[in-house]
Amino acid sequence: MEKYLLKGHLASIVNYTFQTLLVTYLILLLAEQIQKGFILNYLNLNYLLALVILLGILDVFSEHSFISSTKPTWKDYSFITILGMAGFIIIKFKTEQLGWLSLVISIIAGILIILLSILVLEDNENEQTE
Amino acid sequence: METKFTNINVNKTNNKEKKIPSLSNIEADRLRKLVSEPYYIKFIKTLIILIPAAIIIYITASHFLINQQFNYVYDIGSEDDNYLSPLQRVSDKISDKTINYRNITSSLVYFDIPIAEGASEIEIDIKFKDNFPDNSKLILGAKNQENWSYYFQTIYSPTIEDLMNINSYEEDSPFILIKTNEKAKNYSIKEIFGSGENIGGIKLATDQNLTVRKFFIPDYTPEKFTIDTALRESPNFYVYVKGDFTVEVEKNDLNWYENPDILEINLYNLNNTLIAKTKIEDDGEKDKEPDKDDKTVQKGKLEVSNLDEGVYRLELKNNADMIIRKITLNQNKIVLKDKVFLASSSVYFNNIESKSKIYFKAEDSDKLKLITYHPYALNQSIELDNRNIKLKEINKEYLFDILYSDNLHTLTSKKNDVIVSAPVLFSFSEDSWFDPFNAGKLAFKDDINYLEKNADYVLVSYKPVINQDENWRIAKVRFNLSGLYIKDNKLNMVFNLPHLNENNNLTKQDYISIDWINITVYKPSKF
Repeated sequence: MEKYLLKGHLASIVNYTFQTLLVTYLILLLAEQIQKGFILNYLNLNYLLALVILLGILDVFSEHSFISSTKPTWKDYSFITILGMAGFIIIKFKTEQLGWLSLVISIIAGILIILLSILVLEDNENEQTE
Repeated sequence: METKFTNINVNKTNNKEKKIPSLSNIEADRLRKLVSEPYYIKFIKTLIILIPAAIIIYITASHFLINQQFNYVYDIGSEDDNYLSPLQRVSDKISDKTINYRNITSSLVYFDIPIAEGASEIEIDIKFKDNFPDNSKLILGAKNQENWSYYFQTIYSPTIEDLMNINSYEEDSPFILIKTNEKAKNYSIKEIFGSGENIGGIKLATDQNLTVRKFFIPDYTPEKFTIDTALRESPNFYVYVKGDFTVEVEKNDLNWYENPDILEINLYNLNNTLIAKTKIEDDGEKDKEPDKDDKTVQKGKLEVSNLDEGVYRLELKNNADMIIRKITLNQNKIVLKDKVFLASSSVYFNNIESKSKIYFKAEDSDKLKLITYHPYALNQSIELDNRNIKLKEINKEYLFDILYSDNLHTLTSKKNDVIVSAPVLFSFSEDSWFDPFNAGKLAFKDDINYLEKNADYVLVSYKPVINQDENWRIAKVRFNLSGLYIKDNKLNMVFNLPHLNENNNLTKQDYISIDWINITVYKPSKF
């Protein structure tokens, strides 16, 4: 979009807040999925979700930073690997009752997470380079 | 992904690489200052980071540092009501002015409670209508195993409520101690739980797993004791034993009937387990005619060593075709329960007739019965204390009123051959009398008559209900979650109403109305 409602530092704040709260929400949701009641017994995530949605809408109408990025480094790949392994562990834990199938599903999911993350990472790099 | 300033390529031209002039250090600094964020923006972003940090701190504190209470209200009969199952055991929703509820029409009805991780206890309040028949109760169970197994607690018992209304009681949560016998020695809940060995002389009806001291005679020293009153039929004695036990019995066969005259000497404990036995054989005279001058006795001896101190039942079982002439024991506390057949009479043998005296105590006013089967025993005066009664007819029951007394009553018969029966314990000397049943534990039953008759105290784990109005009551109960089976953070509960089970409620006329269930789950902090 050419015309933005929010620009400059305000847009930066909105964007930053949206990302922060979105990641927070997703982590809390994941924790709740792993252990039922772990979060929901103490906190109603719907309020956080409403805030995230609102900020997301505002973020769509906000100007985004044009600061470029460099090539992915070994830190990025390490982080992706760790995320892939975490995904493997979580899915293995949640599907334990499936027996050997659980291991297969977890491995595939972990690989998928790594590959998709690399794809997004390198796709971003290509876009930036263009 | 690293982000840093590079050479800014503002003009997008063609794909040919052009040589871009580099900025001087001063120009680069100025540009950096232009595009970098001001400090206040950085400050705001730092504050934003604190939001998830605060959430994480809050969640952590809630889990580990703060005591929590989770409250759930199940409004039975409301629009959202989907709490009870199976539905075929529960009526449709019923609305009655301001109250909506359902009726439970069958014995086992279930519901679930969400349990937070780390919770230690739950408290459940239930509002129900009191239309329970006598001797029924409302029981709530919490699942304690993967298969069908529940830990049950009585949450409403009309029996206990009625007992509390008519007797004095002590409440020390979660227990109620009801004194059903006003004459019994006073004890408190703390005393009963704290020092069971010292609790003596009471009969306690309880559903609790505690040890109540059985009958015990402090400082008892066994001595030799002889009963030389002739007896007939199969007397059942209760003997207090300390150390080894020896009993010697002498019998004299009447030989009035054909069958062999064997006397069994059996010793039982109070659980009716046979400890030891022996027997005295027939006098061997198969075709012998009754001989009233026959003084030949057969003797038998039973010896048992290393018995636990306490009360035992001594049975002298026989076919009544003999007279028990003498019983000699090495213990001097011995009583006969309910019935004694005094047989020191010339009806049986010459020269055995002598005055008999027996002693007893009456717990309550009652009747003592006398009957004789032989004309010889008629026209004798049976004396009871300072009263007497004359037996004028055979096969007729004569009644004495017996009154409660702390002292022993004395009954005397000169001619004997009389059966004396009453719900008392008879002894053959004043010193040998004792009551082996005035102490011990009884199982609690939902039977008010049974409890009032047999128990001095009733001790149960029970919380009295709150009477909300004429019909509705609120029962409260707590469950400790330790040992209970919680799956997927849910605890399964069951209402158990024995009087509504299939066999008892064939017409489905009986039911129990439930208005709401209020649940509080307690989760303590870890520290």
